Amino acid sequence: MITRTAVVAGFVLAGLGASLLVAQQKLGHNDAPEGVSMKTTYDISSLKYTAAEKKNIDLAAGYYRDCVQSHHPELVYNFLAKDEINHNPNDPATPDGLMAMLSFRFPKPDPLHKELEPLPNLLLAKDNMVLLMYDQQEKDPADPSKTYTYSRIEMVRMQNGKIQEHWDVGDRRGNAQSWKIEWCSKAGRSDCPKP
Amino acid sequence: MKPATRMFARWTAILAALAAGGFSAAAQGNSVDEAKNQKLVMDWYREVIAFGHVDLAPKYMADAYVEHDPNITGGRTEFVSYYSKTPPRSIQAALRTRPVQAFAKGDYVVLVWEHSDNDPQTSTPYKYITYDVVRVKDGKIQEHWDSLRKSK
Repeated sequence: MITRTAVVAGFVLAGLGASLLVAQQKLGHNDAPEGVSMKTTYDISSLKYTAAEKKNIDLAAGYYRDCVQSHHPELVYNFLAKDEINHNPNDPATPDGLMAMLSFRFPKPDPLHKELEPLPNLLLAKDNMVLLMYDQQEKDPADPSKTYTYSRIEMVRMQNGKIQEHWDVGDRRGNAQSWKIEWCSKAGRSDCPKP
Repeated sequence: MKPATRMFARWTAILAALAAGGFSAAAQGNSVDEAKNQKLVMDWYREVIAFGHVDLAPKYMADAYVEHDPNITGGRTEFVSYYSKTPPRSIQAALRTRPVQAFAKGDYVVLVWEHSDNDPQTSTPYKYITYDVVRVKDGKIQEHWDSLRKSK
């Protein structure tokens, strides 16, 4: 999930993931959409995209690169529909909320990154859906001296040239994510947890 | 086969296909194959995982199956061992819950599931998702990823 969730929780993991990617093999993508680096570590030899799917990949990659990874809130509506639906219960519920969160957490956005970093380990596009899957590493809870690999996804549905719906994995069990409290009221949510 | 060896073998196969000019042919994934893959994965999920019939694992899963769930990690043997902890139930014709999103692309099948819970601090009901990503080749499931992280 290079999603909003990754913005919040994933930067340490992203660093680890980037290191992992550097060490892994790269494969040029068949019929790669322009402007999107299609390096991946899983077998993508069966994939072939339509022109519409390529556009959708570009839109998804542009969103994650410019807004989520480069932290540019002013570009959110270049990619997201006004009434975009977000299925991560820990994310801002609306694009306006996402802009508020990005502004709050990253008052100085990065210069726009040239490409996704880290790159997804697997990228799929089918009709109006795009999925990015990432290998992540974290400490093994049973033995913190070791790390292990798990996966996470970002999945979006396109409609009328914009991202209309977003899914990634996040729940509210375990340790409450205290970061969400800080910007929650600014994000237009009605179910903010009590600090 | 060790994971590193498996990965090397896979890349070797891809590069060999490229060298043989087979990349274009391999890329002609059609919707019939994708539909078959999706049905295979749904049947596997229902019979083997949801209703616990690990005895059917060889019907669906390749000998060289790779499991990426960090709580299982390994191959088909480890998968069967993990799911054998729960006794098999009578296989039903349909799952009680359907995925909220499902699609197949090339060799891959994606399933997204929605779940309900209550916020532990506010008791507010909320929903969240989990997923399964599966790679199918030659009519068998070769590889599986999901959303789970290691528990203590």
